[in-house]
Amino acid sequence: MFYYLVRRLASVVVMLVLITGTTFALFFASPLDPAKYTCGRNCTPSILEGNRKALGYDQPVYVQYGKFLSGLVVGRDYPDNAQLRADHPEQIVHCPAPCLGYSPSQSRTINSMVGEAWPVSISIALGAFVMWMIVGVGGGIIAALNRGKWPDRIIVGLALIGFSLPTFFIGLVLLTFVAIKWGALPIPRYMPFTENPFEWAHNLVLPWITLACIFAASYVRLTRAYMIETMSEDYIRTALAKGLGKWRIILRHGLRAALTPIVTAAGLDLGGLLGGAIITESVFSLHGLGWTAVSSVTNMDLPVIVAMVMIVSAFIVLANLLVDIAYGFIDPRVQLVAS
Amino acid sequence: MKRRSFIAGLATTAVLATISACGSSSSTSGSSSAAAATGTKGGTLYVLSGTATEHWDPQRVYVGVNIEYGNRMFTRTLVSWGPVTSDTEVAKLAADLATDTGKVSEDGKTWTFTLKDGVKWEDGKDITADDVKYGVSRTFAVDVITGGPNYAIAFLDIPDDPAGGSAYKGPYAKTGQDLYDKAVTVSGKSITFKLKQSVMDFNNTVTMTAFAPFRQDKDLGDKSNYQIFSNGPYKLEGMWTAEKGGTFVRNDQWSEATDTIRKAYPDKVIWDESLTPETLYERLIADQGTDKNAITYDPAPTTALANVTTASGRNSIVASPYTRYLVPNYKSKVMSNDKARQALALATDRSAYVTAAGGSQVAVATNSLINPNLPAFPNTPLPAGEKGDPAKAKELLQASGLTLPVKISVTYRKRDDLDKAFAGLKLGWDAAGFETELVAIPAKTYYSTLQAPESASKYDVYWAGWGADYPSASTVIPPLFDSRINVTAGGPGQDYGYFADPEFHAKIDAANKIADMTAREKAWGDLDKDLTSKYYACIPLIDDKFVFVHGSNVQGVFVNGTYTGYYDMATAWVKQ
Repeated sequence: MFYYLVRRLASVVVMLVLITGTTFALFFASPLDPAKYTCGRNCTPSILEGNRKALGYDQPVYVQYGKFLSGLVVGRDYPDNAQLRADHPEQIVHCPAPCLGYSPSQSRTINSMVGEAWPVSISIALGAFVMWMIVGVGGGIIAALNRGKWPDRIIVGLALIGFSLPTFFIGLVLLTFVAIKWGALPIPRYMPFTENPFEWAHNLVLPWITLACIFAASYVRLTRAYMIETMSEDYIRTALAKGLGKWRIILRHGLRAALTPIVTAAGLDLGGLLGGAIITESVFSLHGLGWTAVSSVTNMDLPVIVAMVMIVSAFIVLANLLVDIAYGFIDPRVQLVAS
Repeated sequence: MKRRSFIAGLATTAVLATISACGSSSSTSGSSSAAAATGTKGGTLYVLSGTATEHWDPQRVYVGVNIEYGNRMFTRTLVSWGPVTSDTEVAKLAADLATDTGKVSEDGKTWTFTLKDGVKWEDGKDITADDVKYGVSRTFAVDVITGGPNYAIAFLDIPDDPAGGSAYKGPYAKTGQDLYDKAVTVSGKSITFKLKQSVMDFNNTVTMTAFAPFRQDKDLGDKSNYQIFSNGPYKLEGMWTAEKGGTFVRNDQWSEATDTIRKAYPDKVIWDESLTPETLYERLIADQGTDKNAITYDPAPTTALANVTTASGRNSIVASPYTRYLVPNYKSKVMSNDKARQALALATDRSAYVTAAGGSQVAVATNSLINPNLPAFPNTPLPAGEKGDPAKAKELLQASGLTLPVKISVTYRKRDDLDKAFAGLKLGWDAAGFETELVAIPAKTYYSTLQAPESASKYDVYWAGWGADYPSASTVIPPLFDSRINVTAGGPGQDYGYFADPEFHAKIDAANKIADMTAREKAWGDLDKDLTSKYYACIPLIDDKFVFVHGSNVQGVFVNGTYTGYYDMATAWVKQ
């Protein structure tokens, strides 16, 4: 198990290096000049040159990438100007390791941006996750056990509707009617859990419902399909024949077997969401990681783009790893064999 | 003025694309009918914003919204623009930190301002002339203090260094500090600016917050970007968070007696910029809860326009500061022909543009480059009505010596409504004997494409847009059509069409030297007429309009078109 973890973690690091390197290379292969975004329309060549130098865009890509990597390990100072550091140390921003970079358009370190954004994304993701797992898996079980009867039809029908409605549509409808027109729930604003847990949840209900809708729908269908499959297995018939209790069979023998693929999907979905629920965050103006990513792309804020790509891919890669480890516990058939 | 034009580009996209949806709405402003005089102190005002503030550092601010809000709240300037009592009133120049609107020498090259007594920073220290001098010096640190206007560099009597740029490198590097100390001198409470050339409206220039004081001991370079250190009626409570906003509370060091501009009615102002224009307009129109106490600086987006009229009595439909125009390229064989340019102007069907933009409520055909918000607006009549006269244009083109059909390639900034507008314009031009090729260029690279030297040999006509930096046409005519300050080996600058005429240059110099404001602005207006009706170096198309909505409890809030074209906080108050 230990060697397995080390090997997997090493591959995670390699993957992240490759992803960030590719992002850097792609960004610089584009015909856009990032320095131009910092200069006005009445920009003179000398100002443009000055900005480019101040932002480090004048250096070759591999040097910039090297500085980014070393910043992750030892931290960095901004602006990277020895003269200014000597004359005006008060103007230097120190970004401690692991330094993700500095955003010239927001005049602050990306670490501080991420520090503010991740609690928002995690709050949205976890709340929605709990909601859709309960509704989705529960609904799926009920539908499977009543296969072909009216509860099944209703649940599957609702799931189909939920799945067909785009997130931005559900979000906008909820925001416009429930929050703005009826005032039934607050217009979502992020309130830290530590400050006021009730307000935290109260404010996030709408984003949770929005996000949970589409996921719950797919989990209903997923759970239903796997439950139907496992419930028709021979060992279930054996258990029934032995006279075991109905719920014991459903939960211990049926659900447990059906759970493996569901956990895989859930882990990956949650991992993706921890990196930001772009549409939900945008609709409700919640400044999580997804929102930060979108705004960095529109502003051509290179350092933020690279950092966001890295964070999102890190979540997905790590979620994958956790799912693989979790298999061992959920499904006794999956075991690491020391070869 | 890219910053402002760019933002406006986004905003007007929305405005232009839709007001067709509320085509029957009345174009008069609702908020101007509210009484202004009876404001009461107290309450909390909310600013709902869908636009992230790039800078609050006074020397880096270049967006109209931030110039105006900053000035009204916490960045007083030597001279500013007075408040207005209706959306259409023309604001007057008003002394702010200075005792008057400045004293100018006979030759227009030396300006002196004297600070009032009793003006203080939020920590209680007096604002000194040295603070103003230090503030202006920061503009020269172009590698740290980015984004702001360059007027200090352009106007102050400091030589250029051979590599380009000013020989003074700002207060951090200190290179050329002696040159700056000679150009800007302080004596007691007075500060004197020595200029390279005669600038008779320099007291308009200093209304930009780039000429505001800045305390040296509070200067943290780029780290100062959002660190608001107030000398106005409000100060920041806690921190400013980019893309979220901040809360402003009363600054007890501000003395109302020193201030004839700001009424400072609300006790608190909360700026929330975590929103999108679409949702904030939904909220403003729904007018629920604290949104009743809210204003916005974002013009209404497409989605909101149909509902704007339901917010009657609390909406403003006003001329935006932006004018859209066409520039013939003098380096192209066709457009260097005088008759061809005239034919193009005559065959230009502005009604097609207005229709594509969304109708007369959002766009007005114009034949003046100078915006109607400016005193210099010459209101030049259209050469042949809104529709143009292709038949007459064809006669001119036939007499030009060019072979018909005359091929021209016209660029515009890619956007749905402009696609339609230019399809309409093309019909008129082609009817006059042109064979028009339309080239749509993506928005983010549009102006840099125009400014690239190689474009001179590729295109014949360019679309462009402009808004004045301050209400003097000296920020319109010279920046756009004085080749001496624009054209270099590196490209045309903002004189996209390489228009250069010695007689025109002489008239610019003459206008700059006129001391009387009315006479000077009239001279700029005459130059505008020359451009559009004598040289045909510019074919104005339309003036945009902006639509704003505010909450029902907000009173005394008017669009100050002279200053920046947004709601003026100076007189805003909240009904309790």
